[in-house]
Amino acid sequence: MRTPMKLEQYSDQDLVKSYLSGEESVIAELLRRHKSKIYTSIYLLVKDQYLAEDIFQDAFIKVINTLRSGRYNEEGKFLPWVMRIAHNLVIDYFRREKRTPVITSADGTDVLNLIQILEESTEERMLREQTHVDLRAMIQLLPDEQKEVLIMRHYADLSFKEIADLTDVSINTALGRMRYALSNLRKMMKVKEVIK
Amino acid sequence: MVKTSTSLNAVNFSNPVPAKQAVEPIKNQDEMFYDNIKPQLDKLIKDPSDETLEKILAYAKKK
Repeated sequence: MRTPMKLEQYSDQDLVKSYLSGEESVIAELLRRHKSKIYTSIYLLVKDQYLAEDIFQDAFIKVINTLRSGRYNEEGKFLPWVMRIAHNLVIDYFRREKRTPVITSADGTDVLNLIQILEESTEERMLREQTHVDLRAMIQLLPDEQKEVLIMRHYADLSFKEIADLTDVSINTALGRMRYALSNLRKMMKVKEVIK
Repeated sequence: MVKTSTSLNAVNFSNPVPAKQAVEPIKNQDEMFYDNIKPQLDKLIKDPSDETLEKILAYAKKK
């Protein structure tokens, strides 16, 4: 007698097929697998917990609607597909908000954010001295396109090919942006060590 | 008669650059830096709230 397979042993594609054949509970497994990657990516892009929750929820509702309508292309991978949906929702949000344009310096760092950090209070400074807060602030200082690639590579675990497809650039451009992101982060960490 | 031979220097190989190095996406220094900060980057990983997950699961079960 064959032992039934556990949900964790199924591929994303198998779970999607199960969902399409009426097994609604498999969505829980897909969420368990990918929630951190997708949510962290959204959160680091929009910098707001509640907004990130909304976008995460909207992304999965779109996923479910697309699966139900039979428009899901099985050739693609599940995670990059959901990331594309989430990424588009983030772009839509920024378009709607028409946020203040980011002024970048010659090396690509956001000047306004840098000024905010220089002008922070003692209390804010103490808080920022926690390593993870520092690093998050540094990631936020990166130009949008560099931040985006770093987040998608590290947190969403996408390949450079997938990132290139998602952001409509060549693989070399995506690689270059990652390189600049790391180089800028390294510079910022050096500066932080000097002023400590 | 002059005897000729071909040296076995790397220059004479058709592909002197090791394949792995040729496709290496990130420069070594950046790659080492990336490896160093990975644990710190991982500390920023967050999960959505249970409430949001429950709403999605409820929607997935709706007919």
